[in-house]
Amino acid sequence: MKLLLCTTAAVCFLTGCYPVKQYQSNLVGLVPPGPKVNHTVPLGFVEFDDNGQIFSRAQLDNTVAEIGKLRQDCADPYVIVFIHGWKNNADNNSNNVAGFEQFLRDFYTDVTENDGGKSSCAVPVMGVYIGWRGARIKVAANFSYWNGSAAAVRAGGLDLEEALFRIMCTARPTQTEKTNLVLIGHSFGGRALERVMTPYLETQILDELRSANYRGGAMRFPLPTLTVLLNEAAPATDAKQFLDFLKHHNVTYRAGERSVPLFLSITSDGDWANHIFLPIGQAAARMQLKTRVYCTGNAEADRKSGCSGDPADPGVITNQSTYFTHSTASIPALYNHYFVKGGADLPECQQHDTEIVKWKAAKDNYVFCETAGAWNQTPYWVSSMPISIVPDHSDIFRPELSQTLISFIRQPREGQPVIQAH
Amino acid sequence: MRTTFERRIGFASALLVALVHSGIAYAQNVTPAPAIDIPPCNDYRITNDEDLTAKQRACIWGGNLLTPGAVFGAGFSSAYGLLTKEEPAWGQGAAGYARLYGARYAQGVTKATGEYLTAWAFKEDPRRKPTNCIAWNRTVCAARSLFAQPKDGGGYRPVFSTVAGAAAGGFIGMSFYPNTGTVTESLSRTGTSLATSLLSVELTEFQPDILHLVGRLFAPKSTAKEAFATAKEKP
Repeated sequence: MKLLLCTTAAVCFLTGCYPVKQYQSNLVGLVPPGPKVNHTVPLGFVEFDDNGQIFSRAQLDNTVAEIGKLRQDCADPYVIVFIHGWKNNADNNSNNVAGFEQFLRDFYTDVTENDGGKSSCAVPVMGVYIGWRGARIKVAANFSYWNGSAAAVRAGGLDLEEALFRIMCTARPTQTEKTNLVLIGHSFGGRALERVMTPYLETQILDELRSANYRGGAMRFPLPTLTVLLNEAAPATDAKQFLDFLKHHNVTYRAGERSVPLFLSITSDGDWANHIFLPIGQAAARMQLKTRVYCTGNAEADRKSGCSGDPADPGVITNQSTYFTHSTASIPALYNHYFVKGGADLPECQQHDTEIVKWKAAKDNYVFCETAGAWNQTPYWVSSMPISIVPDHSDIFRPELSQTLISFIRQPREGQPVIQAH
Repeated sequence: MRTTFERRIGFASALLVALVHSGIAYAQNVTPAPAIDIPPCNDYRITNDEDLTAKQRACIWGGNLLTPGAVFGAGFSSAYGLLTKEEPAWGQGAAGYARLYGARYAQGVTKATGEYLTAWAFKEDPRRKPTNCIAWNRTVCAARSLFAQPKDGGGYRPVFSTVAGAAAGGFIGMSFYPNTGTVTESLSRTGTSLATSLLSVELTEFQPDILHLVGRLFAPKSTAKEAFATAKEKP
């Protein structure tokens, strides 16, 4: 045991392990002005340790209080919550802290420039950065995949659930509330976010459905306006169960007559971590559990495979291992939307498909389209994303992605989106 | 029995403690929100800041000294040198390999230092960014980035640091290679170094596309519409 401890200590000393500590103060901080931004933007931190336990309740209390103040002072403010990914933490040295700061500056600029002075306060934007132990070792950090993945599952525990619930209750206690609350999870941070949000939503929706008062229409529980899973590094097994739930209960998410995303899961075409590393890593992890073969409805084939249970849905994925060894946005059968890049020309959706939003990012024009006749017709939107927006797994905070997210968050809509089941 | 003096001292101490505490409490109430300042050598800032400071340039140089490419590149190149008996005077085996490794690594350090100093002297941007070119023109644009970079007012300005770094790394060998420390061999090393830089920028330029193609090998093949055709209950 002593030898093991000494070896671990020696390895940590030589390679440099990141300490388990709270990096930021308990007070809500300020994003300093940038090259083209002359105002500060409030940024609160809520940090969790390697076991998913919150470091300081004062951090959460101060952040929630600041959100409450923002909601009181501003007519329709924006609260953007970001859960960082693998190989990052809440330290100012972390790329995600610097990148999220820049995203908030870009967002603030867009809001102040395009709202024509409609906002009732100077800064109608606030950021919340959720920190966990995503950065583990300083050298050969790619080898921390399995540890990072397990840490993300622990981060998505009770304390994060409480933190997100309190943020939701303060920012958007009802779905008709004008505050815009956006949750963004990147990489393993997306996994933590999904692990908290999907059980929460299932419980709330089922609770509404069993209520004698529910006659269809808007449900009443606190809900973010949009949840974005960006290059989410998680097996699709959780998402598949949630998709089945949404499909089974005919859950819709609409603003007026328009469908809007409850979840938006987008992964870059150049995301090597999800497209190459995750299948290899999950194939190794698969040795610890058994996956099953789905029935096909063909009696002879089903007898041979020894399957049991409901038939495969979609029928093109006949083995559960496909979901276990791929992320949601790496399985084209689950896609229901797609991007079209048009260069300098205005791009168009394919015939019969619906245009959702158009925007310009850097030199290129883009359109985001809904696929008519996709298997996934739920408000859990899944799509791949062009390399020109995000080139790989980690380099996310670029002007192209900022503009893309801003277009989704700020697209014009009739009223606030509400969730319904039919 | 406490004297009057002792009582006064006690009262004064209590007053002082109360004042200090209230001062701390006041200070806590008015503590301004902390600015989240990102250190200049944060990778995100180094990649995205418009102009680099001297410290950021030094950080880029420091970072280039200990990259996997520098460490493993020197390792492979030394192994090849050992196999081809490049420096017979240094012998074979571990001792010969260690000396070759040290020499190769010193070459890399000199190259990085030459690039750093030249870029600093000529105010060049040491960062290689993805090009805005399209299709196969990207190959040419990536290669061009080694020798020219865009000017603020449009057009291009020459980049000297690539050649200067390669030459420094190539010719430094004259000071320690007993057998290959000649001008001809130094020029050859300079050429190899330039070729390595060229390969590196091309790989950086096309890395997302290459990884996209490799990633497609791992992805399930069925499309959304094929999945719809096999849906259990069609919506």
